[in-house]
Amino acid sequence: MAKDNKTQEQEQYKKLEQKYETKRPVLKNCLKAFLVGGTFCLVGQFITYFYIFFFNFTEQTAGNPTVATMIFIAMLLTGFGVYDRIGQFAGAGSAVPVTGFGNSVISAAIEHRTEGLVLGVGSNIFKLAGSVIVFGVFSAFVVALIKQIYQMIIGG
Amino acid sequence: MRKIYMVSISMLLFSILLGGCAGDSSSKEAIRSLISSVDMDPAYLGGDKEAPLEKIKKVVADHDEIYDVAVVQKGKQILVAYKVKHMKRFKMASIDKDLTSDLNKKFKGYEIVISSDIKIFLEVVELIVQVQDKGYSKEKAKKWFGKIMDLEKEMT
Repeated sequence: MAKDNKTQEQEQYKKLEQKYETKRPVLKNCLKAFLVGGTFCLVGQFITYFYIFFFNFTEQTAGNPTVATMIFIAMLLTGFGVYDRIGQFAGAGSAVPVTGFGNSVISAAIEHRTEGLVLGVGSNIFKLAGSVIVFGVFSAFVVALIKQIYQMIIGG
Repeated sequence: MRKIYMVSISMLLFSILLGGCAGDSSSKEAIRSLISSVDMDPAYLGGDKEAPLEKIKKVVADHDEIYDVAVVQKGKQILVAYKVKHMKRFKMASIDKDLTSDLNKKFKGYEIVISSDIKIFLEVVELIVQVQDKGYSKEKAKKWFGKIMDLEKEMT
């Protein structure tokens, strides 16, 4: 971590900057994220019910095809340039759900396709989503380890 | 050009969606059970002597968290499908545990399987409708019951 040893001029400039800085509409952004993220979840719920009702999926197993479908839809929307606009409007509302993962994969692939299929798309496709996978797998490992230790000590 | 792509892919998705719906023959009760209570009469498919199914249904329905129950019996096996009130779904594990111990204590000598999965509920409702309303053969019903039990055991 860098030490915060700013000069007097720097401090003054920071204050001046803060004075003229446009304030972020945090509440409005939260509301937008909530509504758009909620809409994604609603669509996901419909897709889950679709798989449960028309195919042999239970509530537990329907999650897998639902996630795959949501990512597929997000990829289509990214390809058509619609997801970018949703992202600009909703912020975290479109980035946090699993569709944001799909978006980060396909947008990296689109960006690097001019560099070739192997060195461009292949090596850059998980540039953004890679951290999600790494930390997802690692945190799942840590949680599983804690659960295992808890069960060994307490039992259950 | 872009519009043509969008329209063609939307049509493809829509046709896949419709294709999934084409072979379906779900009853009105099954569709209704997705959003409200259907209160189906229990069904007995033969085998061992009939269990007090109405009593079992009442015991389950008496739990405050539960708002709809469907019971079906084949031999010693009794399948109890139930729906939990939305805001009580946080306590699903404890409801499941209470219900299992309650039923096993009150109705000894039977193999009672309980499920809160909406897919199992839908299948049980559909089976009851077929058996009670449309003179479905007992043999087919028993096979269907076996399939539902297999589905219940399926985890992922």
